[in-house]
Amino acid sequence: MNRVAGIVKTHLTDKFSWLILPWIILGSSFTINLIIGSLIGDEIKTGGLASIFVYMLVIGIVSVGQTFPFLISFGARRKDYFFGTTATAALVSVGSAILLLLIGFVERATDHWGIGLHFFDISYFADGSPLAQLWIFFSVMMNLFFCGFTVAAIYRKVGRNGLFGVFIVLTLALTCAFYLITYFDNWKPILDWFMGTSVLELVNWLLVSTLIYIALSYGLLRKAST
Amino acid sequence: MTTIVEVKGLSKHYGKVKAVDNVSFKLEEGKIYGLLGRNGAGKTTIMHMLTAQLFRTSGEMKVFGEEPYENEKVLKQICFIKESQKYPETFRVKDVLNVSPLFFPNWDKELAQSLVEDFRLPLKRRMKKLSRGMLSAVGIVVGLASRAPLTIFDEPYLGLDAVARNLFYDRLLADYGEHPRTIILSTHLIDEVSQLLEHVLVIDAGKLLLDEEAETLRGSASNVVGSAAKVDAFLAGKKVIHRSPFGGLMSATVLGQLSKQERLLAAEQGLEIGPVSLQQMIVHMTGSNGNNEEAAQ
Repeated sequence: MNRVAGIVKTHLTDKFSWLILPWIILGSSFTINLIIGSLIGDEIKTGGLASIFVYMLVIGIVSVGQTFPFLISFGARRKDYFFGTTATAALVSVGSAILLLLIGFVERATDHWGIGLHFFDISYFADGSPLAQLWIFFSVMMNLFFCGFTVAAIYRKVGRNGLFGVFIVLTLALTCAFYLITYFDNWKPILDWFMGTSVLELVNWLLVSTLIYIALSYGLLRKAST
Repeated sequence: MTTIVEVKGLSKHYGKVKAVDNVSFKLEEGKIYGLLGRNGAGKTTIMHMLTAQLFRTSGEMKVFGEEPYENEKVLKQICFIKESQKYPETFRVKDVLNVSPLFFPNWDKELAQSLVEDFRLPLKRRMKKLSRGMLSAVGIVVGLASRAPLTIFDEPYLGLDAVARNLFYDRLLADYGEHPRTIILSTHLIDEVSQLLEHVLVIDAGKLLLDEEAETLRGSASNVVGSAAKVDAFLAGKKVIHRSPFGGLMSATVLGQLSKQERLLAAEQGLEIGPVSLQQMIVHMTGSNGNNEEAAQ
């Protein structure tokens, strides 16, 4: 049997973490919003949908520690591990994106659950064609997954202190960048650029950062020991 | 005989610490090897490098004639069960057994099932809830049922009771008889496995101390006991790896076969000569004063 497929199968053996838990979290957030919405009787716009996206970041971090040492010691190549894990994240993201889109349709069709709760159908985020929405959901999930995956890969390669070091350097770089932006009074043009850019264009820029994450995590895992 | 593993000048350094220092050896197809040595001698590090889980500092290494790193052809022929084998936290025993055939092409499901029964493993229990002995038993099941051409067990029976250990030896020998393969047993329970081993490698402080057929090794040392002065005289010119004086008596371990003449001489002097077990020999060779003794001779 193809080893990449074997790795996907190994990941999905843990159905609870990959398929069930994110929807339990999203579901509880939705339920709470539904209760509050029906109590106050006002229109609610909430960011509860973010939980399922943040969850991708978390599983990106956690899954490496759980499965990398196990699978490498079972004779999987690092390359197979990388592609198998990528395929798993992609499968889960596609499935989640489709589900989110469908529930969004239901939300719109039921006049936002009859109480004006905007949970899945959020303006700006859900602007555009269904296909564009799918792409947006998918891209954001993959981006966050690989962000977490890269953090875990850094940890695998350079250990705890190395990871601290990377974060210190990153914090310094961001602080300098913020300082320079403020110094040259550049905040307004930057905000204007964001305001003037559609969500689809933003997501395409996100793709660039996803590709950087992918290249980084691949390079790091290829050199990581268990 | 086909050479399966060939290692030349293999080293792994962590800063100034030489975990493995210039080790060279060859392993042949269809034998049971013992990789013996004290804790921290470098056994596990060597096995990690053989299976491309750890990167070497220097040296050459060929497994099945090729470099093992990221080499699917090589890696799928190896099954390495670590003492500290990690499993995903959510996995149950049966999840591990379901996933194993995806990575070990020769996996024998029936063998795995019968081993699970023999070791009385609870299939539905989570790996992280297993006792140390049960964890070892899962490793043994995977290691045997994988029937990998190169199977490596690193301290396979930590926490196992005597019955389970015997079960392991029996099943290993039975399956090895039917499906010959190369097996490496790394352990410090030397006496228990000494009958299984066909070839012995001894590692101490990162260096290869001994690389010898078990058969040759068994007759290659003797214990001499008698009055201190007489033992000393008898030992002159021989390679002594251990001495322990006891009052006016002395017990010493000598390397090398004793000739018939020497045995007669010993008998005349009232010295007793006895066999030395593999374990005793290795204890003397790798014990902290073993090396000093040898240097002093």
